[in-house]
Amino acid sequence: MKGDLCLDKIFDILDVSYSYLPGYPVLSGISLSIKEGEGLVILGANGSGKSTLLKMLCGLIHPEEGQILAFGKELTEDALRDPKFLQDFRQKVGFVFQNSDAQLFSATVRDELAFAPLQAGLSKETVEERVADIAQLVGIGNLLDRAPYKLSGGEKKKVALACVLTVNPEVLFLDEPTNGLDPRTQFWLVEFLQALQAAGKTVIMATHDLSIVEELAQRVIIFREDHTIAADGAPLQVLSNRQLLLEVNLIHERSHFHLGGSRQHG
Amino acid sequence: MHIPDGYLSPQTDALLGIASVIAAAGAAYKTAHTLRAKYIPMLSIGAAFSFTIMMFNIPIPDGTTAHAVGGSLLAILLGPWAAMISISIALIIQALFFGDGGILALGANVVNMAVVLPFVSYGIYRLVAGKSVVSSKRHWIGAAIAGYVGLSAAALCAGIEFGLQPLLFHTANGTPLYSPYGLNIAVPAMLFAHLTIAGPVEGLVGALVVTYLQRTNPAMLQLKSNTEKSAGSFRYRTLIIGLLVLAVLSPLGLLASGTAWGEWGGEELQAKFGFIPNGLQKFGDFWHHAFLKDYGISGYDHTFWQQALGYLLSAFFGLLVIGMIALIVQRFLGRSQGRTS
Amino acid sequence: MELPDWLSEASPALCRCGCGGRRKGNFIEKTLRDIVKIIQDAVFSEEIARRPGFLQRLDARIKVISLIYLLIIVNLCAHLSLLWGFYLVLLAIAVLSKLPLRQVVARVWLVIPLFTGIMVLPSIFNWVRPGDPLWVIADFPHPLHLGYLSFPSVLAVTRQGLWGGIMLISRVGISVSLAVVLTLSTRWMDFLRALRTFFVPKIFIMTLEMTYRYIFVLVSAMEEMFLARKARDAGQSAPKEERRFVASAVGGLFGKSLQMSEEVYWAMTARGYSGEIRLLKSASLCWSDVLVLSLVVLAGLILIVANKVMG
Repeated sequence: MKGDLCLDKIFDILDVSYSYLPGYPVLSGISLSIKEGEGLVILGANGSGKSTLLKMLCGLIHPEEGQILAFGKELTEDALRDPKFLQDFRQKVGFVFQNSDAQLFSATVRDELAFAPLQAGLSKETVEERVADIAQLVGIGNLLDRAPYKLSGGEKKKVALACVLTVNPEVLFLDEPTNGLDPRTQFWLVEFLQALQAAGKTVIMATHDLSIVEELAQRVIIFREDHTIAADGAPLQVLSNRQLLLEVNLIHERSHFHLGGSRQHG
Repeated sequence: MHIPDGYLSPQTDALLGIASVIAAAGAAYKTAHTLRAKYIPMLSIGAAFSFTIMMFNIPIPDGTTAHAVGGSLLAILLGPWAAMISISIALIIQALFFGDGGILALGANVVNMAVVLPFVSYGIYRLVAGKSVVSSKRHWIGAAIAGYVGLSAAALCAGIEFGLQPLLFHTANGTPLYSPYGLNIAVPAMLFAHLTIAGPVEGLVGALVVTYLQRTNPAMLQLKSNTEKSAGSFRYRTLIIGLLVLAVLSPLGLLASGTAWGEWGGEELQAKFGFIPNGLQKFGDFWHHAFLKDYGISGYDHTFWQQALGYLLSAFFGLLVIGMIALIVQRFLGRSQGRTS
Repeated sequence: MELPDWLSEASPALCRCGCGGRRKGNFIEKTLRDIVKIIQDAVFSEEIARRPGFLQRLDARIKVISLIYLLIIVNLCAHLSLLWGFYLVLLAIAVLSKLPLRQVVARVWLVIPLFTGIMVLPSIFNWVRPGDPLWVIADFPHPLHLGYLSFPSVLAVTRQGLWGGIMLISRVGISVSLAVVLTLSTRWMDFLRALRTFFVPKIFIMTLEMTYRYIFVLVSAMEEMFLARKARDAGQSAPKEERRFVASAVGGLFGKSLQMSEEVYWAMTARGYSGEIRLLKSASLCWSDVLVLSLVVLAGLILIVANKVMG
């Protein structure tokens, strides 16, 4: 199963544009490619189009212009109607949404974790085994029979992450993963994602939290406010360009951002 | 307007329950064709929304507050079929978890508030709004009238359901078994309360929200027409005919089940309704029972029912004792299995 | 950043003289109270359902079947003695299961007779519903005429009216008690899950479960709106403005709901949903569940047969 769709380049984005309302583009003429196992962080101010790009890569919305190749196949609404491709694709790609309340739609945490593997057609026993394993790994074993509305923000994020991991995706998209988390949970999340990266997963994040970049990124892409790409490169090179960060509104003139100072290990 | 259990006879509940199931099946079919895969989240959140708007208190002129049902608003925003499912689900959750409205009476509540209300409201709204532009006055005026008339129509249905009870279900001496008022009292009473307070509130909320949406987000008022365009052919005509037939037949069904019930409830209730201290004497009187005599099997029946009662009682206590012993044994051995649920 | 002058001034001191009086029936307070009540109800019943007890241990599926079955029986029984006999047994089981009596008894019997009682009160008089007089209240010399209406000269409480009223109140109260006992002893989640094993279409169950889930999201969104409004409410607003606020809150909530439903749809799609739902099933029943179910069925039959025997 693993080898048949696998290529070195997993995503190819060619000159893609998108707008929710005519005349107000959220992406204009984006081109880039993503390699397997890459730690990619997409930076940009609010509304620069980074979430839209993630949703597009996950096959939730489709470009108006240009095309996206996923695992060597064009990703269109039509292609996803093929049940075999759909199942493969959904199993390979996981998405952690910014709004955990929207992501956690099931009545209990257990149902939430079981949803994706059940949709993927795994047997009941496998599903239960996976649910138990992941719950233990993420540390939510005691929450399994709780209703999501009773969880704290940090717990919700952990459940959101866990419910994506139960299908064992190769590519993980995270939209603003650190938003609203306390420092301890943020730290836990970063370590957890590092462990996933070490296991060979491709982790792609959209954020405006510069502090997590150096922990998780091998590559950084910066979006301009006009919905085009301003920079694409290694974190050190991109983030040391203070003029650029100012220009795309990621930092303020008086903010004290500098590499290496954002987080202490301990 | 949530009817609790006990006001309507189980026969009425069953009939209205069947009607609501048929309507729900129609709605499921219809929405499945118009909204496609998106409809589960859409309907769930619609239902949660309709549950939530019942909690909004709105200040009314006399200084107190009232709250709207919101059914007509939902029909205007989502269309009558989707509104029907959303309101039904909200009603189920209210009945199961919050004790608003009965569980057996769910069918009746669904028919009144989730079928009659949204369809009447939607029809009126469409009629008044016509083909006018979204910003037109006709939309909020339509919403106001739709809310007022829709809720009153629902109240009328509830009034009729109440009013039929004493007509159909009473003991021979006229003691009502369920809701006591006939049509001549139940219908005007229900209508009065809804025409004067609840109806205007429903209309007001509808009009205010539609005006608000006209001002801030007119696209939401057009959701319905967009989804409707993709609707399939007119295949639910059979369903509507079925519903109409059912509506015509339902009074007959009520009558039929009513007489059946009256028969075996029988004349003996007449004399001994309520508790009579020397209840045992009844068993002696049983022989002279007119109703059973009519069928010429009184002797057999007498012993049959009494025997049945005896068998059932001994089975019950036998099972109870066995259960107790098993429980004690299980406790004693201390191997109560961990339960998974 | 330059602040405008008015923003850098201190606000006027609080008035301590108590002038102006109190406003009654504030709609914000009332709505907020309703919201808190919903959430309390949910949390409270969850807590009771977690306590150990006989009813709590029963499988939710058994409880759902029993609830519906017993409700039908209670509504078919036409003898007060049978109804109240049944109620006493129910109460005994509730006590054994350590359900709070205040909820089970007081909440039902303080509310039901009040509402149903007022509703049913006129029907006990012969002017409203003719019947055999039991107590004569007034005896006028001649029949009364009031426009089109004419009343008999005797005003009396009728036997049929009185017994009918008592019957209705008992029936409603006992039906509600039955529902209260079972909902208090069952976690809502288990209730919803129980429906999965019945022949309810999966789409319907999924919708029901999601509704249950999003009620809490929308209710807390609504709470935030009302709290934000309360924080800026100086008690000066006109009812007209208040109504407009409610309308914008409803409209805003609808917008939020739509957006949420779009996001939820994406979240479901991203995890492989394509129109078909697969759900985990509950564990199988154990012997004691089956035993209890048979006891309930027998008890119901006993009531019906006794009802017949008593005539």
